[in-house]
Amino acid sequence: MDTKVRQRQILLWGSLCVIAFCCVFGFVMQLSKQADMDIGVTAVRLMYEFDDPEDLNDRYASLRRIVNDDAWEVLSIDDELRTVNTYFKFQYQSSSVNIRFHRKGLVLYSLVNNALSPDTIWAFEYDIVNGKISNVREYRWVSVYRGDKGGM
Amino acid sequence: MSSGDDRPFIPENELYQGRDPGKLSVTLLCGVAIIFLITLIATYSYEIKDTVRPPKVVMDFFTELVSTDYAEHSLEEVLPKYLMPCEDGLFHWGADYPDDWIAFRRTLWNHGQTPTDFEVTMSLRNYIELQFKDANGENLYPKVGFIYQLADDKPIIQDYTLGRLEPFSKYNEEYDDAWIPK
Repeated sequence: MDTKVRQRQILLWGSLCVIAFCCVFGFVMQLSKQADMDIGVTAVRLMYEFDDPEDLNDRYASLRRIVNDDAWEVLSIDDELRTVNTYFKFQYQSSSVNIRFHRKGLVLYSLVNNALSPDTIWAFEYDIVNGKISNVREYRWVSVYRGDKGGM
Repeated sequence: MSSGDDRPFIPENELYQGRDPGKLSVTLLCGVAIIFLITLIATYSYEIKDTVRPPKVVMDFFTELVSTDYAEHSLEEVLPKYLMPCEDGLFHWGADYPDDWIAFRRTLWNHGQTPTDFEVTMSLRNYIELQFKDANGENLYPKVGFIYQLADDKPIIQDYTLGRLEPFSKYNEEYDDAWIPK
């Protein structure tokens, strides 16, 4: 086969390989980003979406797999203070989560629960370290004001 | 007798056969390299897009707010500069004051606090979290969350949600027993 023709074929296949690599790389990055964003939403749902408080033990077993040790120390329901401050407000009633706004590192949500106002906004902030949730901060939004267009 | 054109005749179907195939290959490779770079940059940009530098209009807005020193007339000057008015071109009036005026006054000058400075503790796309500070540089808790939407055609805040962030677990460094949800 002619050398030039062979060079062309090598270049063509090389180019196709580079293009394929770009596509796969972009796709993987997109999946990774989506996973980082979803992990926060998943954590919020695992913690605050339940039919019965008894479900929490199973849900926390799943939560343990997506948080690192430091985050687990503060989120674990074995910590009585955490349980009282966080779960007392649910009044032992079922709860579901309504995601209002989320970004990588932040989930704003409201809770659908008979004992709580669905208008109250709660915040779950986190970092991602080695693919796991770390450095967790949780807040309740108070004195909320919205602009004339209705806000969030 | 010469016809005046001494160039040899080349049939059209053979015109480009003498071109160096290396040039075509180099062009092709350059094209692929450019596509690769564009894809790489676009992917990287997309990856970091959630963490963003706060828009200038938002930073200017809060900088001017904390410099108003709680003066009613100052707030009235600052708010229309940065917030989109209603469709009729006026601020939405509540009982006595514009709603926006009440929102920012009550949020920033909360419980007698007097912010003179602030620090951005988190900045994401359409979201900024602020830690206000007093004249001594001490943190004024709780922090403030601000979700914003900017207008497409001018540097102005089209819509917002504003609130103070009260931690409800003791692992938050700024936790206070007074903030246990009742």
